[in-house]
Amino acid sequence: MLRHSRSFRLGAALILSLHALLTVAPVVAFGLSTIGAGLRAELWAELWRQLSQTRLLLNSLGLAALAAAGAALVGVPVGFAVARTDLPWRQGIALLSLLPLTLPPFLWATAWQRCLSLHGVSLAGLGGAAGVMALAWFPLVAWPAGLGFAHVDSSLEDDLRTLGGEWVVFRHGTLPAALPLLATGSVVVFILALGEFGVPALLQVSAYPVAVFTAFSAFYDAGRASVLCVPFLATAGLLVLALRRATREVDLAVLSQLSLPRRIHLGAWRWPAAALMVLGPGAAWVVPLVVLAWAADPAALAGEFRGPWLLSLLTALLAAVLLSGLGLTVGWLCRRGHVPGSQGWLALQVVLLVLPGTVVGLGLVELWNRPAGAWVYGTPGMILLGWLARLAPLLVLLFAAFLAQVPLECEEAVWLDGGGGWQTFTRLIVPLCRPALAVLGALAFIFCLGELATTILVAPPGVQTLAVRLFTVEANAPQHLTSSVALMLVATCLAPVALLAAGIARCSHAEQGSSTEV
Amino acid sequence: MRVVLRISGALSLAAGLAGCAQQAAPQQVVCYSSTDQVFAEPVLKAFEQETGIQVKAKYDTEETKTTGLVNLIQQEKGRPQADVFWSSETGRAITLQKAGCLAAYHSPNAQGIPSAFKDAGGFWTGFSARARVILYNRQRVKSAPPASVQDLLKPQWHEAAAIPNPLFGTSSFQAATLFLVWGNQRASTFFEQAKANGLQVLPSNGAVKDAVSEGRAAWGFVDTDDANVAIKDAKPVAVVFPDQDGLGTLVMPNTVSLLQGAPHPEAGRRLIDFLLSAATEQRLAAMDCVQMPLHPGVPTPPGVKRVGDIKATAVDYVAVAGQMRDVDQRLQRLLGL
Repeated sequence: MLRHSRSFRLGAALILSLHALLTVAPVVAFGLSTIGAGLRAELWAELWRQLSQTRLLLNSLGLAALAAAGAALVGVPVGFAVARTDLPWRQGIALLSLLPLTLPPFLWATAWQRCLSLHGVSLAGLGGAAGVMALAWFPLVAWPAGLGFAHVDSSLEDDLRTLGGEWVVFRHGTLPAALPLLATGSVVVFILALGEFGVPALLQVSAYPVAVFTAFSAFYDAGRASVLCVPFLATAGLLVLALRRATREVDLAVLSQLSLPRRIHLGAWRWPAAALMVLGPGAAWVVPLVVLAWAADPAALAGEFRGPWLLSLLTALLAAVLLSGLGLTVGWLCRRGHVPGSQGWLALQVVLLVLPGTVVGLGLVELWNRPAGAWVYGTPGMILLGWLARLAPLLVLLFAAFLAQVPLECEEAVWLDGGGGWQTFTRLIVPLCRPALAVLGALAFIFCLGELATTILVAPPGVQTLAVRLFTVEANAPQHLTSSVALMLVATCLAPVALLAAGIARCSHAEQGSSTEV
Repeated sequence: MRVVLRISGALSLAAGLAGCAQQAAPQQVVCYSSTDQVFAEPVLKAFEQETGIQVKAKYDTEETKTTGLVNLIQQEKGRPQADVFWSSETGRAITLQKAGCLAAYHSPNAQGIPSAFKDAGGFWTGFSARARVILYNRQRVKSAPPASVQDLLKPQWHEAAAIPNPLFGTSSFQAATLFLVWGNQRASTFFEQAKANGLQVLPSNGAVKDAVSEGRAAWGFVDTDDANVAIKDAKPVAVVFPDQDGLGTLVMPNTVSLLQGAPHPEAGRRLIDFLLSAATEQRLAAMDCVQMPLHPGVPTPPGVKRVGDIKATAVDYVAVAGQMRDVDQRLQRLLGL
């Protein structure tokens, strides 16, 4: 048992308090503001009525399960191929695989439906909706899984290789090492699909979120919406159990910077595999992107879009840095049990992630729209707070999953060597997690740029992000304008990530010597 | 400790600068608008140019994309940030009035507007209306186009017609109007039969417009602004004002309201006066949203109707808004939404 110094305990308490202020306090504020309304008996009768329509809830659970399974089915091979094979254009493929995340799945579904309707094919139905969501969110499995696959200790794999072929290595070494990240990514897709309203509505699948959405959007009744969120919370409980099982300490596979795992030589399959990666999951974005580009007119992007673009870019960069730092710190504190109630804190992150963005947005309004919060309320700082509140739970869960690959013994050794808690963190954990900081930071950046539900509520009057701008002009603006704004958003998402990838590639040249080909 | 001092210093400096900026700021008004940004923004800019008052606007998306400004206004009720709420229809204003978020204001420019389109207490006033019209695809509808909401039941339109999700927005208002006019029994049977006739329920007016424009649906109900966008985009579509021989076409005005506790009430009243002027109605009629003026005698471009040019459904907007929740629950059950 490691002994925590007073300064460590104080620092940990401060960080968790900050995290709670950013993420938990808005939800509590929302809960308190609606508690009176939520106690109305009629609302619980309404909840019972909604639940009695089991078809709605079953549709939603089925849709979410299919979307998560589909995302894993596509994401795991992509993540493995990019991280562990000598596939040509690996970095390009990895970057392109992020494209589906740059626009909301509703827009992809619309574009796909337009394409298919030209050929008399309908996308409507449970399969179509699940397929669209799986292809839109598979990067959430592919990138974290790739991170896990890339950081398995090569000596472990070599030992397993002596017992059998590559399948044995994958089955008993590589896959278990990546499982925590893979499972967390899949759970995140499940949560997103469970709360999604736009895609099922467009593709005519009745789903449970319509009840919550109508409570907010048709009845403007936050109390009713809170009560109707109860099934989401129950589902979160089940997800917590699933995640705990999947992200147990990985005993066999450990992360190491000293001996990177070997890349698998694909031989004659290199180019066909690359083509498959581009044409398979790549088709998720190629076709809709061509539709957008066809309709776009860059001249439509007048100077009025410069403000939203600059605001989005700078705020998202800052948010990504803060989210990565906070996510890693809180993820580490909880993963290693350095604070009381660590497991409960991690479970709370799942609950926070399940809640609709509107709840977080209205909670932030309740929390900060008061004289003491006047210094930030009504300023663009609220957008930053909104993104931190919405995405910090996601980053904490992903970092906690990644840290399952860091052997506890290494930490204990540094700690007992006199390093203490914070030195262990800065000298061991942060350097080991550099790849995760880059990958998960990139995901956070893209998520921030696309966030809509919370942003539209907390952005001050006169200020819009690019995503908000896209959706407020989307309904009745000419098609060339909306297509141009959508392409601008895609480019804004990918350009900094491409720069980051290029920087990492340059740095990793020096390390390539340690990676040998099988 | 030094770090803490530096951060505090930076924050104090920022707060000081913000304070100076606020003192030096020109007169301003904060407007929350659920009317489409592409149409509301030019009008608010015209107000800025005419009065010199800076408008800080916050816009909404379609109802099915996010959950709206009404929730925000209710949440901000204790410390309102907005002065004026410009709504694209009446239901939201009535909701806010019931929640005690609105203040009364009788604008002098509201005098020419028929009383059916404004609240007697001055909590909201209607202007520039949209109509609920049939948009049909000329390539799919070769014979006589549909001319009534009752055509949703005709066998010739089996699996050919579409409506936006009637739980949201103007489609919800149209459905609630039918329940009010026909009664629950007849309206429920109507929607059941329409469903049996293969009625497509799409997420929004925009989705119906796209489906009809691309021929995925032969015809459907949308608002006049959606229809005009499709026409301007040279889609093979045409418009019918339905039920001119019977029920009439549903007309839904924009509404404008002053918020209770508005931080800039005087500037807010000036913006309301501006929006309710005949000049603004003329401007909105000339834009792609082709909104119909409520003031008598406002000139409109060729092809843009005035409310007086059509037979409008006789609607008690407050009564319709009052039963929307009940209707939504019925429709959820009847249509399996």
